[in-house]
Amino acid sequence: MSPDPVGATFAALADPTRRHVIGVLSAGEEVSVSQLARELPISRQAVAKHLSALADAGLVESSRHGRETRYRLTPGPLSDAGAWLDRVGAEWDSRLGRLKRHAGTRRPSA
Amino acid sequence: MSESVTREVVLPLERDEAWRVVTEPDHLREWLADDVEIDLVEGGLIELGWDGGGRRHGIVETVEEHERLVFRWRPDEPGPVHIETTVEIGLDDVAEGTRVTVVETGFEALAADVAPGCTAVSSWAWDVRLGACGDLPLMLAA
Repeated sequence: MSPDPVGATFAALADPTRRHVIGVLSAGEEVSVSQLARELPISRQAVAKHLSALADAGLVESSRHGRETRYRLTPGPLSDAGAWLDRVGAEWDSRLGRLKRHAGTRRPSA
Repeated sequence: MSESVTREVVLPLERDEAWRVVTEPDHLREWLADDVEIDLVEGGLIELGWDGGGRRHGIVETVEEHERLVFRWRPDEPGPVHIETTVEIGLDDVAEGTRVTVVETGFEALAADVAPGCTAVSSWAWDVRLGACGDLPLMLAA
């Protein structure tokens, strides 16, 4: 896992193909590279590369089923990224609360 | 799912007064950050610091007097998320005074094509919470 897990999540999700992969995996199924390659307009090799990037960011994990490797979503990092955005919103709530109080107590042109 | 943060608040001020509280350092220090430097021209620098820790710096992108201020910012120090985002502060007239709308964008990584049915991303449905500050106590001047 990267020392900057939320940043790694954002970086991994910056690529539209990887977001598409996440979208497919979000149905909750374990899927193989071949299955993903059938659903996406890219090669098996490209799918494998994107899955590797997602795995590096901790967004997916793999398991062996005989000769096949299947991938599934790990929800933790995605929730962390969502929680971070919640904090961005909460910071603005707090700042605008101060702004409103400030505007009520001081009239700039007075 | 939204990839921006939007918040707004209505101030009991005329537009020109509201413009001053969202652009002048003396006023910005009352609500945005503890330490504020801003060169209010397009391409000007903005530097912010908080007593509790953390500094941000960026560039002023758009200055439309009494209408709109846009700047980009990012943390000075690498943190949990070291990304640059864009903040747009817009003003418009409402019956009670001036509405200040803040929109922070740049979270492209969280684009809407992540499947909405995914429970893992359901917490991203934070979306737009308008008027979140509307019922905060207004401390009126005596």
